[in-house]
Amino acid sequence: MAQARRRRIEDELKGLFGFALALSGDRGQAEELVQETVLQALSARQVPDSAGAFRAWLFRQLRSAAGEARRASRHMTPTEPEKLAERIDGTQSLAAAGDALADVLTLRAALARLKPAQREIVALVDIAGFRYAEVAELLGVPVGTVMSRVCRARAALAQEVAGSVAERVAGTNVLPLAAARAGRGG
Amino acid sequence: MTGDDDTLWQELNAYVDGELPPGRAARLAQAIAADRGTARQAALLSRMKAGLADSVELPPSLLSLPEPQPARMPARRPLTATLAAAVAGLLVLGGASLWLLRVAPEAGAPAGLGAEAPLRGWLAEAVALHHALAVGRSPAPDASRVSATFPGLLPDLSAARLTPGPVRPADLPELGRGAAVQYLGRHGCRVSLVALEQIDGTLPEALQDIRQDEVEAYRWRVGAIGYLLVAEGMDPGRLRAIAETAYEATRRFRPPDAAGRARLADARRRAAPCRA
Repeated sequence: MAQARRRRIEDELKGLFGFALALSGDRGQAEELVQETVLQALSARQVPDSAGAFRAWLFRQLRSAAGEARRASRHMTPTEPEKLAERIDGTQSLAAAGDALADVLTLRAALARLKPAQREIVALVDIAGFRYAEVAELLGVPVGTVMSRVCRARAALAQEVAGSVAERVAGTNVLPLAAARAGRGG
Repeated sequence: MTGDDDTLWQELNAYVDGELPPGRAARLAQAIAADRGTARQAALLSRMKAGLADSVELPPSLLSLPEPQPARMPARRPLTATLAAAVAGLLVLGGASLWLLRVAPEAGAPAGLGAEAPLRGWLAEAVALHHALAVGRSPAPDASRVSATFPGLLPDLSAARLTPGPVRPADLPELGRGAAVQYLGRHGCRVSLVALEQIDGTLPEALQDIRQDEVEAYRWRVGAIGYLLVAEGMDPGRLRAIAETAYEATRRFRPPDAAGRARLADARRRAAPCRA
């Protein structure tokens, strides 16, 4: 039983860390949040049985821990977006250069510049791989709200990466529409 | 900016996330195939989604789980290679050629089902579809072109040396309607993956295996979409690895990670040749 729980947690570590990064904007804080969540999950007397419910429970624990950490550090100066991007990218290796890595780095930096709520929704859907209905339950909002947030967040993300990814992927007329939406919808 | 633009953008986002019902996904696939601008939007969204999934790199401190009671627990063990994985690119189906394929057992289909123990129900339908895809039976392009696709993305099975053919609509009376694609190996191996709209949830959520003679099929469901994976004469271990990879890819809506790809490749190397 304990091994099965460990395996389930291991399967979610990458998603949890991505979610923690999105919530905190800082790799060090994200590591602490994930470690705290993992310890909580390993030591909990009871956790949900089904894989899906356990997964949602894990992310709820992390979200709750992030909320507490945020409340505890309210006095801190908000991080500048550029600094945030540097801190998120800080430990990444540049050894494997190329278009793919360039895209990843661009996306990381762009993600760091989004609003916290937009980072959260993108992390849950694109990094953790949750379905809209699962995100709706996790965040306590209607599915339609999740869809709207996903659309706005991706439009904002597309605007942020307009100078690099869009040119390689799409040539000319991809971004104006998305960028216009981002500007309008926030 | 128009309301139509907003609707299209919302549908494209739901499409790449696998959240559109098959009917709407089919209509959107047609729009993507017909309009370069829409196709570019879809490609951008798909690439961003894949890139984001690939963007997280675990720090060394998280490569092994912390122990709640270190003195009483066994030594830390390394995480699976999953944790260090980069994800593979996804296959966007927007530009695929899509042709109508009605499914019904027909004379001339490849043999192998065994006259003593005929297949029944959904398994017989799935095998008939598998055979029909294998012989490439489809109407003339100008007679019945239709648009249909999987909900968003296909599992990438390239690590198993399997390449997807065109996506075609599928109609299985026992289970429902949807789309099907057959993956082809270099030495005659064939695996068919079918996605069906499952309003009544007939298929189980968990991965289930059924085997009869040379035929082996897996079935599972993710939300309102049911999946069948069918092969004939394929090494069971290899097919299981493929099924589990496809199951995870559809359930998590992300392509196989490095560990999954390694498992596919390993299962292929160890497998006996297909008896197609």
